[in-house]
Amino acid sequence: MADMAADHGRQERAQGESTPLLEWVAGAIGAILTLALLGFLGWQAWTSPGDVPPEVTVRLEEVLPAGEGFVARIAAVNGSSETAAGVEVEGVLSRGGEAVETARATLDYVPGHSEKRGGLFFAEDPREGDLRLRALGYQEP
Amino acid sequence: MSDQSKSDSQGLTNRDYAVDLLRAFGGAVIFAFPLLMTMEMWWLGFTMDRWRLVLFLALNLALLEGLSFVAGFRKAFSLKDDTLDMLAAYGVGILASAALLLAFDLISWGMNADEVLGKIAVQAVPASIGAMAARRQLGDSEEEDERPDCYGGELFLMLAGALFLAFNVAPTEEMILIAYVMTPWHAIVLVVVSLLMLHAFVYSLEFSGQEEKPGGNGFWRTFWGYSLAGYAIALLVSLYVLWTFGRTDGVALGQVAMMVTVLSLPSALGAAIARLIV
Repeated sequence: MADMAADHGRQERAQGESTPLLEWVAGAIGAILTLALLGFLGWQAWTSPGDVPPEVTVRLEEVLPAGEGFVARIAAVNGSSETAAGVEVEGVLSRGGEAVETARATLDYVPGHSEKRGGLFFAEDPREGDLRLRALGYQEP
Repeated sequence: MSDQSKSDSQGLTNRDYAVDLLRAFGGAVIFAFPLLMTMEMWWLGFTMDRWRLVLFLALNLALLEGLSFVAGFRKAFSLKDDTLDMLAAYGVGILASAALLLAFDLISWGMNADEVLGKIAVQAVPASIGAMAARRQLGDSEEEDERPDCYGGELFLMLAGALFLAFNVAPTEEMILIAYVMTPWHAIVLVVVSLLMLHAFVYSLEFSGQEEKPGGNGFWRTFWGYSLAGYAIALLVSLYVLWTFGRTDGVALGQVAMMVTVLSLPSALGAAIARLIV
């Protein structure tokens, strides 16, 4: 196999000394992509604030009927550059200042500056009343 | 099988073809079992976006067609034969995946058809690549040294190798977990290490035979035309596979770059050793 490869190389050489255009183009694309990635990662490293905690806020997307109750679709947004794992999210539905229902969900990962979606199930309609959403805690990945 | 009668025109008997199919099954099982035993792959069967799955399957067919052309076991290349090989490999991939999933009781009669078909469809991708590769690897050695004699063919093989290895690890949670744990500094080191490893493999496997060239020009030509180009393929393949599996949804660009960097290590290795596996 090795000999074949060498032969093949020599044959190619004998046919023409110049490097084919496609080889230049493919190499150039490789160089550009690699340098762009290195540059971007370098910029990320440079501007990274260091050891900061994740900041997860929870936003309500929409409320839909689900089975005999309702589902509140939520999005957890991480405002920090650090990834949070095992984020527990809680929604408390209250009416007239009194909590009627509480629902919880756990999101596996909420990466830095990213958002992940989930849902909370309620028996009562969360649109009627005051729904408070918050992240309870996280774990470092 | 209607393929059998067609094969006769290539000087193959039905028995030869049957032996070939058995080899294909062997290859499918060997290539696919690590993924058949990965739970994320079972979930992908029903969680994966259906359009992305359709696109993925279509690209897999194109990949098989190309592999049949570049690494196929017949001397006479033709669109008809390559297509038949492609369909046979895909068929073997589907049957082998379905059989093993049934054996593991991961699919059963009571299950929703969508879930069953999704699971088989995802698993059939590595299995069909295995089926295609096996005919070459486990087959008669006389045509073993057939290699593509064009640069485009080499790039295609690198793409196939990168896709195969990337696909093998991309579904696991560890890929994204590593990206989340790493800092960008680690990622920069990983890019350099991946590129150097790719180059070491490409150069030492005499990928192109360039080192025969006196004057040492071959080193840089190999680096530019194969290692850098191969790394570009590895990066793009990694990004594509992550997107296909929905790992990039809602994730910031910085984290996507880290995931791509992590996955491009196996992709780059796949590109480098493509010649050995497919």
